[in-house]
Amino acid sequence: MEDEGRLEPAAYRPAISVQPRVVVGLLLILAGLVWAVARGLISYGIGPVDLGYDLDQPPVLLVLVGAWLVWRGLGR
Amino acid sequence: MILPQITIARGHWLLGALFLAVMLEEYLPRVDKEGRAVRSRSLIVPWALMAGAVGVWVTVVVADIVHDILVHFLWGDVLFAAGALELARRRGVYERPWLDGVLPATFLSCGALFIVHVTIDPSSQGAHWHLAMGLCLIAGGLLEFVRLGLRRAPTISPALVPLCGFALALIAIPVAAAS
Repeated sequence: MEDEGRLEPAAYRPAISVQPRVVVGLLLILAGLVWAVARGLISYGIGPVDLGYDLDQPPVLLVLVGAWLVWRGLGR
Repeated sequence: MILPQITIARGHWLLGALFLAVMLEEYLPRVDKEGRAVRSRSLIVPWALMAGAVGVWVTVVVADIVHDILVHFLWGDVLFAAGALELARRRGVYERPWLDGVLPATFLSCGALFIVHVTIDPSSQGAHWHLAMGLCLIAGGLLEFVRLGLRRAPTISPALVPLCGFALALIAIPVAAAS
């Protein structure tokens, strides 16, 4: 049974060494930042409703989804 | 009640972000300690689908165009039913083989409703966006059904591409095209 040694899990490198979610999340954050620079963001203020308007802009939403995805990827 | 166009657009952007998060959570695998890609089957997905359904149903209250009311109502129904079935399945209280088809069927039917939306009102400013989003959802549903039929499915579902395309189109929809 000489093959048994080769079947030790430690002898194998993981098939995937990076979390795809982290990679895609970082790409989304980058895309959101580029989009924000190209499109520009509108500031509505810092009140509760205004803050909602501040965040509900396409580039910001993209960054938020990306950040959430990175957190989901790293949190495991 | 008639809402300002910017408010309607904000609703679309928010739902687009929600759906993008749902698609990525569901179809982008996480890597376990052995380096294998596994689907998360998270409870976030069904809850998000039902939250999305409520968001879509809001249109029924605030819209002033009959076909918008009807189509959004049906979208909400489909999303809520899908969320409820997936929630029951992931909690382990209801498990049937046909439940594999719930999400693809949801994408297909929501895509078909986009086409209905465009067919009823082909001259609207958002017709091209709605058509593109509908086709993305239909493509995503079909690709998922094909993947389910394969003996050895790819690690990352090909449906992720059109489904993310749909969500990104919803996030990026111009103010004038949102309806």
